[in-house]
Amino acid sequence: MMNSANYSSKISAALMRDNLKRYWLLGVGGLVAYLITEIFPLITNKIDSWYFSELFEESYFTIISIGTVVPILTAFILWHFLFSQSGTAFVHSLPYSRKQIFHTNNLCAILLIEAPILITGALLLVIRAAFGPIYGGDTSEIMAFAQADVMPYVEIFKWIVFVSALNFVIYVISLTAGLLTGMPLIQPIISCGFLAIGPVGVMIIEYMNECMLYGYDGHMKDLLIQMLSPVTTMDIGSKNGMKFMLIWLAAGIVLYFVAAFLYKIRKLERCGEVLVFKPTRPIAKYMLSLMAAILGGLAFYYIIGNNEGILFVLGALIGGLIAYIGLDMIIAKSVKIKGFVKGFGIMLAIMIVFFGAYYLDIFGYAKYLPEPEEVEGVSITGPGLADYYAGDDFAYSEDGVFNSEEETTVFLKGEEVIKEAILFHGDMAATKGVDFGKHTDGNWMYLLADGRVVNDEEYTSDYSEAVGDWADFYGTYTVSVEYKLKNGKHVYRMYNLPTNFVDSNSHMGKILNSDEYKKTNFDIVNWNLEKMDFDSLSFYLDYSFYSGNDGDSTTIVDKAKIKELAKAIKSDIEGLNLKEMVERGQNSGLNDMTLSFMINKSTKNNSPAKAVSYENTYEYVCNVNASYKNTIALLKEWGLVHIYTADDVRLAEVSKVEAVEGGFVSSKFEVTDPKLIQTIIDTGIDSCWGSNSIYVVNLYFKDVRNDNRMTLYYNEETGNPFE
Amino acid sequence: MFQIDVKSRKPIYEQIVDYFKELIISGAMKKDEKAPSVRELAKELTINPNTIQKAYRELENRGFFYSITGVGSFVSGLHEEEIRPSKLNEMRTAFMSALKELLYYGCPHDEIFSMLEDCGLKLTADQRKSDQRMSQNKGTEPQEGRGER
Amino acid sequence: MIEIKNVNKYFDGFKVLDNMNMKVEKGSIYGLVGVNGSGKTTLLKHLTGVFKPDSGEITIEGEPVFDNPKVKSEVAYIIDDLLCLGLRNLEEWGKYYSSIYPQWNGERFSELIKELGLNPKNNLSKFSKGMKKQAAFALAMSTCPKLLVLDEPLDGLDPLVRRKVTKHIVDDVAEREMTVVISSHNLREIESLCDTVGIISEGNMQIEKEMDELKSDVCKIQAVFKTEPDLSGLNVLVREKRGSVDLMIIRGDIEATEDYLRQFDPLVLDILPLSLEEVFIYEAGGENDEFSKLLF
Repeated sequence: MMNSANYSSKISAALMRDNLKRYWLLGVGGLVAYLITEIFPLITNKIDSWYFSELFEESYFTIISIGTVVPILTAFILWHFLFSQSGTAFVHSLPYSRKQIFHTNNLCAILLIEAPILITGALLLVIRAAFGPIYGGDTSEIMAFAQADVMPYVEIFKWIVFVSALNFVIYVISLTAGLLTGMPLIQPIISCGFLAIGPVGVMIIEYMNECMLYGYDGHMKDLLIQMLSPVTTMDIGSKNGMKFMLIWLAAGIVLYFVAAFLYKIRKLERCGEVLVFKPTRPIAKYMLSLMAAILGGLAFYYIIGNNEGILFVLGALIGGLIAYIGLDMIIAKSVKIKGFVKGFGIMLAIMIVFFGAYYLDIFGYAKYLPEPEEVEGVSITGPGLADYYAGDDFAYSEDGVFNSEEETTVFLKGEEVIKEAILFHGDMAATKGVDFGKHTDGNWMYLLADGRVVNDEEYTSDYSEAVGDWADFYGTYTVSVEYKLKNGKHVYRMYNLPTNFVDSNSHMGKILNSDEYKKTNFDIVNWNLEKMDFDSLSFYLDYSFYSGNDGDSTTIVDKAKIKELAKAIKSDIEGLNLKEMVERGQNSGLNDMTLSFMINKSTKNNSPAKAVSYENTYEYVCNVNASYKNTIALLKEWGLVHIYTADDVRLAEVSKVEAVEGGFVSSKFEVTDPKLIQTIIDTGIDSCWGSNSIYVVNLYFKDVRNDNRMTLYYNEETGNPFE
Repeated sequence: MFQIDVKSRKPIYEQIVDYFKELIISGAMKKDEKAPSVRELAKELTINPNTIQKAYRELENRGFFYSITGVGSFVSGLHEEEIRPSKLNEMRTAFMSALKELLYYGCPHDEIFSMLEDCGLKLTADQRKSDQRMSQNKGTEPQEGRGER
Repeated sequence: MIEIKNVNKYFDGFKVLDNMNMKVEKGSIYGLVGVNGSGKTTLLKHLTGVFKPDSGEITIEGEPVFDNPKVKSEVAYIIDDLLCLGLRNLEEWGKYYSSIYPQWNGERFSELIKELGLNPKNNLSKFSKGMKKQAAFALAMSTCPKLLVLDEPLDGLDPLVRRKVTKHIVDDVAEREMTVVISSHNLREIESLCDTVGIISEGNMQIEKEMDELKSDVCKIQAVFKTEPDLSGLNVLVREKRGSVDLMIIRGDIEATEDYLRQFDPLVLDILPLSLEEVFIYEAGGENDEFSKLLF
């Protein structure tokens, strides 16, 4: 007899040997998968063409795929005897204790899963040792990584730890899923369900909130989603991936012991049931039905359209009830609706309470406004308000990594500004239920050279070139408000408003004109020009409004001139008023010039969060447009810009476009009066929207270099100089 | 070889008892002869050893066997049977009916007497005389089958 | 050897075993009979340590079975499905079993397989149902168990194999006092093999007796009486008159019953012990008229 069974031990050597003998192929499969996806590309890629992104970003997808499929499959195979009566009866009649079966099977499974990962990791280390540091190539997106070692030992160890942990956690989850059910097909379904439910749950609740809560800002979505499932923790750009995975690892270890307990109390006679443990049945039914309800509500809300909250509630009730009935049948494995009336009634009650609360907004989400005393700082982003447009904001930090929004959001802290912001917020919240008319899904219209007006669908490449284009709908913009309260909490709101809402709001006007706003959003305002040492200033001349003499870009190295220009910009900003500022954001053509200041690192006196960092310099970028009068005048003086006047115009053609029944018609006429032409240059707008009657003005210049034509528009809002 | 009749209503152990009884009565098994062990017999006949055990115990109870622990069961020399009266009557009736049939079919009386002697009965010359009267009175039969010897 | 005391088991509210009691002596071949759904298989699964009773206790040689590998190593259970573990052929099974059963006898296994005409290297998926059963039997017997549990074991086996199998079982019981518990519908077989019978109905042990006692306990009688007999002294279970013929089932010792009835000078008196099948039909069928049609 070769047996030396020790029945009290946790692991049975015989079972272990048997399992390994039978399932070793799984391990080999995993190893092959990793070799193909991780090692092979490494070895076959020349070092020069190797990009950092390829190792981990591309392998992001394969790591998640392999890391999900292999553990679920392994759990299924190692434990498949749980799903058949005869298999269960047989295995449990063998002289093993349940503890032995549990720990031995799991040890075997984990070995089969982790061995390939460790082998791959070892190979990565060997490759690194053999090839030395592998330098990343240069791409415009990740210039900061130029000349960096893309696969240092630390990264490899992180890879090993991360992938091992991921696979372990998913294995334990699949194991638990297998213990909860008695049917084979259900195990992978529950496993995937567990992996998905966090992110999916968050997303559908987010969507629901967006539908039902006026002003809802889905701000925290990404972080939560990243946290709530092991498959989403991996986020290359964020620093939190590893941290979250280690937390999941700890959770996985706890879950392991929970699974041990479940196995111990599992009633073997329930093999064949959809859900073995009775308490899980109502939980699954209600929870999944609720999710289905939300999806049903979303479907009704978006598909049937007109975005009415009551539609959501209706869709939710229908979706939830159908799902409940279906789940009840599946779990009971019968189509007889026996005795489920009670559960049905409970479900109905839950849904009415839940969705009713949302619909009626009983917690007053939409109406909420903080008290000025509670607020430490407020930040508003939107058209004409966004830092990017109005100010100068490159969110690269010292080490060249994107900072999160939290780190770059600028809060206005002045008492008056906060008061005005809250009032502005109040105005936005008060638009609940207001119908702004057609906003999206309208048409882009095109005016053809022969005078015809066609829309997007009609306009094909067969047609001659358009000499003008506009949107026949008003866009909406998103305006966000974020409060940082004195108690440390953050409040987020977001509204979709028509483009003219912001610029006509007096409170917003006051905010934009405040000193604080200008100081926080325009870094240049804070510059101590005396102390700063400039390396160079360069800019591109993209738009036809400003034509340069020497080609597309210019660089100034005269330090005195740079300082002078900076002073001019500073004074322009300080003198800007609301209309000019907001217009800058609305009409994209007016953010015309992008100026890039290279500042000697040691002399810049502001937070580096606003500049791109190089070895010895910071790069600070700012935008100027027509409203920066001093700046433009200076540049003109230096001969670096040319602003068109009526003298430059060779031909001015105006097309009047009117909406008639069944379409649009246009009629063309010429303008020859130089005064009128100059008026056009001064008052015409760069892009047009939301109008049924517009003027399309095409100015043809004498100077043929700049595409020899500029198109300006007038609509019902802007008025026009022709009538 | 001895076969168990599974279709018979008779319990198996009784069949075994009968079998050994037959062997002993007919003299095929002699006094102090060793009976096959329970194990051997069970394996040979493919029947439950417990049944064999039971049969052997019964045979011991009835005095056909005696056993020595660790060795086995042996034929004993005693034939004390408790025969139940009805069983005795049954056999008497069978005997009488067979005898009558023999006489009916004209079996000579001498042959009958020889058969009796073959079974170990010793008959005197007087007893050998057959009764003419008896052979003539075919129709009347005594009701009480008490055997006359 | 086996003691099952006051065991209750519920399957989702349905009482599968109801105050079940069972006692099996060492070295006994115990037959378990009952209609389909009476709880036989469930009971056997309790015996092999698969199920845990909701109340009551189940012990083998004094030790509880459930989750007790030591006890389970001496209990052999004939498997239904040889493919469930994914072992390819009997050779692998033999190796597997040799490592987990302390009393495994490899030589015996080889002999048994040869005797049954099975090739240890052949792939199990190619085995017929009967062959699989034979293989399962060989495996079980080679573990030299103290307790052998058979659930409908001899279904699908040809008579020759049946013989062989039975012989081996009897051998082991004779040689080393192996205890056997057989659950079967084949009452003839049980009748010929078992010394004790347990009749189960609705999760409860109705009768548990030695085979001979069981059969000798009840008898069926066909008689013609000149005068109406006084049957008050007898335990008459069923009585039916067809013309002048009296058909009766009487519980009690056959011989005593016969003596008793002879007093009434019957013209015809046929007394037979019931076969196990008939006892079963009576116990399972209950006391109704249908029953007499089956028995007479």
